[in-house]
Amino acid sequence: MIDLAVKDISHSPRRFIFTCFGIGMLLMVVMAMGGIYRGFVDDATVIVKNTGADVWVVQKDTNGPFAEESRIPEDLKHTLGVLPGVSDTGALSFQTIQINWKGKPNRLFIIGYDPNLGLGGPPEIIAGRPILRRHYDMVANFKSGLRLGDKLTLGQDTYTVVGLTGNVVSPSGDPVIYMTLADAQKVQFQKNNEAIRNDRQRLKEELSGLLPQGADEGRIADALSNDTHIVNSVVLKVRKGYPVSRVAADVERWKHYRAFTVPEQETILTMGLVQKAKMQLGMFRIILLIVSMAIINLVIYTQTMDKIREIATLKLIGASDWTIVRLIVEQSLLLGFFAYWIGFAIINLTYKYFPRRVVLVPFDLKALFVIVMFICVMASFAGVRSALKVDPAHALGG
Amino acid sequence: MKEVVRVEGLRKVYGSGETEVVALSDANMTLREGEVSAVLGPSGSGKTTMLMCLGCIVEPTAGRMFIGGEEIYGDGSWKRRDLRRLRREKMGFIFQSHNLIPFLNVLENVVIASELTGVPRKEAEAGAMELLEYLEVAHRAAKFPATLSGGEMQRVAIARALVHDPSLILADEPTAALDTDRGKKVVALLKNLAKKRGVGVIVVTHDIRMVEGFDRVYHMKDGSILDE
Repeated sequence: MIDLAVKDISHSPRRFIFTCFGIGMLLMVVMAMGGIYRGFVDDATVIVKNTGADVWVVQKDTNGPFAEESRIPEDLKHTLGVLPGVSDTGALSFQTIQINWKGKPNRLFIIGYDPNLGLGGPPEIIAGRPILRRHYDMVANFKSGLRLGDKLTLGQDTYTVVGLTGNVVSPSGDPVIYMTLADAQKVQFQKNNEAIRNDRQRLKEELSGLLPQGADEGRIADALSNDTHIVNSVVLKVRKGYPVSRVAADVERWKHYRAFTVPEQETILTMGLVQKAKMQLGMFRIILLIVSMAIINLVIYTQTMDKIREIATLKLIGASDWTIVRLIVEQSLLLGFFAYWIGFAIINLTYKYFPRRVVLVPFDLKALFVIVMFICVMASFAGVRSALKVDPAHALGG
Repeated sequence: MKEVVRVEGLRKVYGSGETEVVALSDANMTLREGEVSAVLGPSGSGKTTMLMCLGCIVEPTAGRMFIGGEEIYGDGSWKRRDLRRLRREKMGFIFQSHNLIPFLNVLENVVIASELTGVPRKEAEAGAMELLEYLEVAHRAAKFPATLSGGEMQRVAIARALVHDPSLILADEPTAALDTDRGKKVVALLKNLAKKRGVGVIVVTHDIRMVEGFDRVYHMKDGSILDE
C-alpha cells in the first residue's frame, strides 16, 4: 500500500522541515534541562564519591559539611582511627572563595586534605604532579581557569598550581582546588596580624581572674587564638566486610559526633541542595512538552484540514478508516521522530558549551523519545477526529 | 446483459417538519452492463442526491436499491464499512474537479484505487499503466496532477475509476471543468470503455450537449424523474 503520509511530506517538505526544526529546538531544551538536572546531582555528589570514604563524621546535630556548617577538631581522626572496623581516616576542610583572576571574578572551592593519608585527595592528575610538599602546592580543576605554574595569593601566602585534575566541582558547581590540610586551614582560619593581636588581648582580659595564680595568661591566650587545627569533617574508610552502619552508629553513640554513610550523605546533598532545582527544571520540562504537544497538535490539525477534500475522495473510493488514521498519526509520529533527532543532534553538539555541567543520560533520552512518540499520538487525535468526521460527499461538487 | 443497478421508488428526505426537503421522490432506474445512462437536470433537481444514493454515500429514506442483484440496506444489517467495501470493490467515481490526490503522481493516483481492493503493488501498477496507455497519458505517469492539463487530469481520473474493474461507474459532472471539445472526447471515451469493459456508467450532468448517444437519459426536476 502506498505510504500516503510519506508521499504527502515528500511532496511539500518545507513546512514539515521547519516544524521539525522548531519542535526539535524545544526538545533540545527539554533534553538540556534533564541534562542540567543530572549535572546538578552529579556535581552535588562528585566530592562524596571521589573522596573514597565510607563514613563522614561531622559536628553533632548538623548535616555538614556541605549542607550545613560543621567544625570539629582535627585530632579526632586519631581517636576515630582506632574504632573497630576503621581501616583509614582523613581530615578534610572545605571552603568556598571568590578571587579576581585575570580581571574576572572566579569562584573556587578549596578542599584541604592530608596527602599522607589516603582519603580526600584529587581523584586523578591529568597534568603536572600531585601535591608532594607540605606547603604552597595546589592541584586545580582544569576548568577552574588556573593553569600549571599559576600563582595564587590566598590570605598571607602564595600558592603554586603544580597539577591539574579532572572536572571535580563543589555541590554548587564551583571548580575544586586541592591544598594540603595545613595550608587550607591557614587560608580558612588564620587571621591577620591585627586580628591576632586584638583577639589575644581580648582573651587575656577574659582569662584574667579565671586562671590559677602563676598561670601565663599571655601564652594561653596566644595558644587559643592561634589554633587552626580545625576541620569540617573527618572521613573514615571501613575495613572490607565490616558493616559501615555499625561504624557510623559507634561514632554517634560513643564519640558524640554525627556520622553519615555515603548514601546518607548523598541523600542530604541531592534532596536538600538540588531538590528545588529538580522541581523547577521538571516543571519547565513538562511545560515545554505541553507546548510541543500543542504545536504538533496544531500543525497536524491544520495539515488535516488542508487535506479534507483528499480525505473525502479517499473515503469515497473506499479507503478504510485505518488508511485515513494511519495517514495522520504517521505524519505526527514522523514529525516527532525527526524533531527528536534534530534536538538530540543539537544538544550533543552544544552541551559542552553550557555554563553548567550537562550530563546526558541514555535512559533519560530514551524515556524522552518514548514520551515524544506518545505525545505525537495524542497530538494527532484532533486531526484524526476531524478526518473521521469528513463526509465522503464532500468530494462531490466543484 | 446483467443488471448492474436497479432502484425502485427511491426517496430521500432531508430534515423534518418545517425544514423538511424532499430531494428525491419515487425514482426508478435500471442500468445494465455496458450501458451508459445520463441523469440530466438543472441545479437543485436532485441529480447529486441520486448519485449519492447510488454511491451508497447517503441512505435513502424509502425505496429499494439493488447493486449487482444484491439489495442494499434491505434487511438493515448494512454497516458503514460494508458500504465502503461495496464502493471500493464495485464502484468507480469520476468527479467534476477530478479530485486527484495532489501528493501522489499520476501512476500512484491510479494504483491506489487498485491497492485499496488488496491487489499487490506490481500487479496494480501493471494494470494502471495499461489503462494509462489506453487513455494516452502513460507518458505523464511520473508527473504530479498539478502539472497536467484539465483533459489529462480527467483521463487519469477515469483510469482511477476503472483500474479495479468495477461494475458501476458514477460520474459527477465529469465535463464541467472542460471545454466542449474535450468534454465530448471524455464522454466518448466513457462510452467506449463502458462497452469494451462491460461496465455500467451513470453520468450526472446539467449539460444537454454531452448526452448525445447515451443509452438512456433520465430528466430530473424537483427531485423527480420526469421521463426517460
